[in-house]
Amino acid sequence: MSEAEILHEYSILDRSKKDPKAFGELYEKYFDRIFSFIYRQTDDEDLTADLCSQTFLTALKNVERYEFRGVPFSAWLYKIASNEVNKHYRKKKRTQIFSIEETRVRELMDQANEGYDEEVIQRLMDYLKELPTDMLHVLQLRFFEDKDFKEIAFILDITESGAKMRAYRALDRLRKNFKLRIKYDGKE
Amino acid sequence: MGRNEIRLRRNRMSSGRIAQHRNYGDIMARHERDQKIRRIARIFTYFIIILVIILIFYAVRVWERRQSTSKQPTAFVEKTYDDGGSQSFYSDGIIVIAAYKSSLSSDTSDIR
Repeated sequence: MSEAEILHEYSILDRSKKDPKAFGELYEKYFDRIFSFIYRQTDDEDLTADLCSQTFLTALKNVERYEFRGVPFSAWLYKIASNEVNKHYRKKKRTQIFSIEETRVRELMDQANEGYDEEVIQRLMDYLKELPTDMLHVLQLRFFEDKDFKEIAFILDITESGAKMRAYRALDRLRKNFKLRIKYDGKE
Repeated sequence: MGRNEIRLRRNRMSSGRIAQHRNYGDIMARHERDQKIRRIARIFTYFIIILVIILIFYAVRVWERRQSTSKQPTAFVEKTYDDGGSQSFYSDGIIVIAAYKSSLSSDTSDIR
């Protein structure tokens, strides 16, 4: 994200403090991304719509308290969305769902030079099922949302080294199972 | 069952389908309603705080008034009547002894 874009977002946020209608521009810009992010963790369209609305409503309510902390504004939205999803699962006491797109998995497998067939997919599903949820969150943000570790740390409220560590551990297990050549930062 | 439920989707959700759920008007309406509720709650809280302050102030005033009246010097008055009776009391009206000569020797039930 360029500096000009960050400054532009800042000016919108400043205006939003006085006029909530101005926030609409940021809503339009980030709605799809936040919706997809939540949908990946719920696999329920109506529930995602509710949580997404709640995310933007919470953001709008707290826009006066927003401070720049070295990460783009979108990271703040992801953080609110992540909290809303966690709150939902805590309330319902259900197992966390991760709904991943086959196309994206195929892309990642291609990047990692791993053959893609039903058996590999099944093994991958079994592996992800047993992975601790906090590690899955890091993997989701890193490989499905393309976030850097600074943003991931901010979104999950952990340290940057903690985020790297979780990704490293998760991929280390993945490498052992799949002979992948993927590195924890997503590069080969 | 594992720690998480992993589901595999064929495709990403299309932006057209996501757009069906986009409704900033609804967000604005909810925000305005929340702001209104918050404003009413704030006014109510201020009202309660002011009411509590007024009550405390009033209670302190009453207590001060009581303190000042209880500190007024009281005179001990003893009255003797023509029929032989007598009455002793403080000037603030508290009767201490009221007795009649005739009843003093035999009956003390009249003493209040």
